[in-house]
Amino acid sequence: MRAVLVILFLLGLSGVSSGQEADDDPSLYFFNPSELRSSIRHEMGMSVGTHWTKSPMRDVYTSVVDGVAYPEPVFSRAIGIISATYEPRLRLIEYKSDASISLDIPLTLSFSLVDVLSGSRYKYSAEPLTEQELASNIFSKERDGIVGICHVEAGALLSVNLGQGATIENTKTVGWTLSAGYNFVRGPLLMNFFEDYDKADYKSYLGWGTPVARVGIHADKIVVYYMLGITPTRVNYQTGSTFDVQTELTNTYNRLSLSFRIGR
Amino acid sequence: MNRLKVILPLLVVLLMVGCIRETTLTPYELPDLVKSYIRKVECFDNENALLVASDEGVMLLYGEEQVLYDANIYDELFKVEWSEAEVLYSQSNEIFWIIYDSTFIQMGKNTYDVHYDNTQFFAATQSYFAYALSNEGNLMRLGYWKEFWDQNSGSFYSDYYIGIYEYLGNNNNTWREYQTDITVNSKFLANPNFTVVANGDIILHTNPGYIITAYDDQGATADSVSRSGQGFKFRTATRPHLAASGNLYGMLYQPALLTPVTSMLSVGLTEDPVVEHVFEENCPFPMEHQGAVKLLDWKGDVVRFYVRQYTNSLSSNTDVIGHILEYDLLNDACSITSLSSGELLKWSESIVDVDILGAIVYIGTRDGLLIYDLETDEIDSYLLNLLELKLDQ
Repeated sequence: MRAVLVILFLLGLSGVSSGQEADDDPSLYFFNPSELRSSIRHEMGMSVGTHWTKSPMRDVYTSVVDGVAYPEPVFSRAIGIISATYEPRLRLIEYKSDASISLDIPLTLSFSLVDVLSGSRYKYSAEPLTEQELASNIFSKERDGIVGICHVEAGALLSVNLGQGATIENTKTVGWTLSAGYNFVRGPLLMNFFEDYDKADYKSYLGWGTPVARVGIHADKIVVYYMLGITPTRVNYQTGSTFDVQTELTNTYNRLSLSFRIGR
Repeated sequence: MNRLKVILPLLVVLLMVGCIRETTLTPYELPDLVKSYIRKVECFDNENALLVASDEGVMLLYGEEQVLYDANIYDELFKVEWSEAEVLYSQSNEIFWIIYDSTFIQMGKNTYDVHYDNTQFFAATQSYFAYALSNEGNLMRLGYWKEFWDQNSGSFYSDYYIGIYEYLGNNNNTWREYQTDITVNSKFLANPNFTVVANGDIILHTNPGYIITAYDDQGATADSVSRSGQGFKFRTATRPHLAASGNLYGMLYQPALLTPVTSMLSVGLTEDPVVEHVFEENCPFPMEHQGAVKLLDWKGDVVRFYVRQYTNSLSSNTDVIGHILEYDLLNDACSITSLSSGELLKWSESIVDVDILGAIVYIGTRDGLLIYDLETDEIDSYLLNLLELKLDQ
């Protein structure tokens, strides 16, 4: 909803009325599958060390001190070391040669470290507790190593494009893109790379989605993107080790990447 | 375009900052007392409250709010014989009452009080008591304060006069007594089981029955209702319940493991005769069962019982650990829902007590408290489930 409002707002600013008919105004052009080549822009992108994401809170890690349970948030985290993206961008509506609205589908493969952690960075084990462990006052278990490596992402973003890159005819050197949508993360791809974990235990930790917004600056064939999660959750909790009140920001997404236009 | 250059980054910043949600995980006292031998489970479904007594203490639940009483600190809890204790609860003051022999324990969020009753009651009837809570949550007791035999009556039987007692619980006097001239005949002498209804009337489910509309030091104002028919055989009906339909229900005796009930009694509040609803006539009982051993709750004219399953690890069907009997007394319709066994509980032998809150059956076992979800037919450890529930905060 928020994304739609943003798009409508920007349409208003750029002087495009969403109610205009293409036949009435030849300056408006709608996506036509038979002219796919001129309506799709392909980009390849990459980032090195500027890509990390955390899932929404998935569970709680509980430490018990003197009969009091201290729950901490548990979340999945992926740190992209090198991430590569292929992104087709379908221009749905074009306004003259200056502006367009596009549906962008960034598909990312990342060599990353994927882990399931608590707020205090305990390596949370999703292996179910048994009655016997419970009887022995074990309320959460920990792992020795990280859960796995490599993850993939798929997004669906609705973008407003101005200037360079907005349409195939646009010849300006600089352009802007503002996008909003949803991004899905799936990982790790290689799970038992370091340790032998039961994949079934981690089923609910291996994928998540988050609403995102993105800003892109186009300079000729090059685009610099910054994509950010827009619904992070701040979890306040108290640790059982220091009894301090801590804060953990979950459901986050951050990525600064460089993309190149392929073809026109 | 210039407008956009300013507004776009501003919009981005606004989106980022304005959408941060916040949640707090609060530390909580871990009820590890539910890991030990569970002695009693009492749910109050309509009030969404629960009491669980174990060898380590007592846990009270008010919705999701829990209150723990460690028996190592509150050592009177060690002395309670839970299988014989009666538990009452009132939502008006959120106090649980535990009544065991002459010991009265009040437990609440910030209340823990123990009182030993040394009051001398009329000797011939000193064990004929019944307890209920007033609408304000105060403990009330009905007993007999006088026996009178009229030598000119030509009868062998005495009249026993009912006394109404309000709990004071101070060191000098446990009860405030209201003597009434309401009588039952010694032929029908029994616990004067009663309930207090919404308008404050006290309904005695005795023979004859009484509706007490007011009482004070001068006596009581009451209407007497004759009881006959099948129910005429009983002298009093335990656990009286007045439904909105105007029907008064009760049982011939308090169900227990070795004395399951086989029927319910019903009568119009001011009507006669009493009707007996026999379970066997309408309920599809399974083969291996030990009968209805505990009344769980009421929803209007529908009553639910726990039916204990007879199983042992050597010879019996191990798929079922018990049953919930649901009987619609208005329509004489009965259904039985079986509880399936699971890894945590394979046989009914280790079940000590059972009660139900909404769709969750709380099962007290020798090894701790389990919960059974009637919607998913899954058994889970209460403690493990609690640790998972904390995620939803």
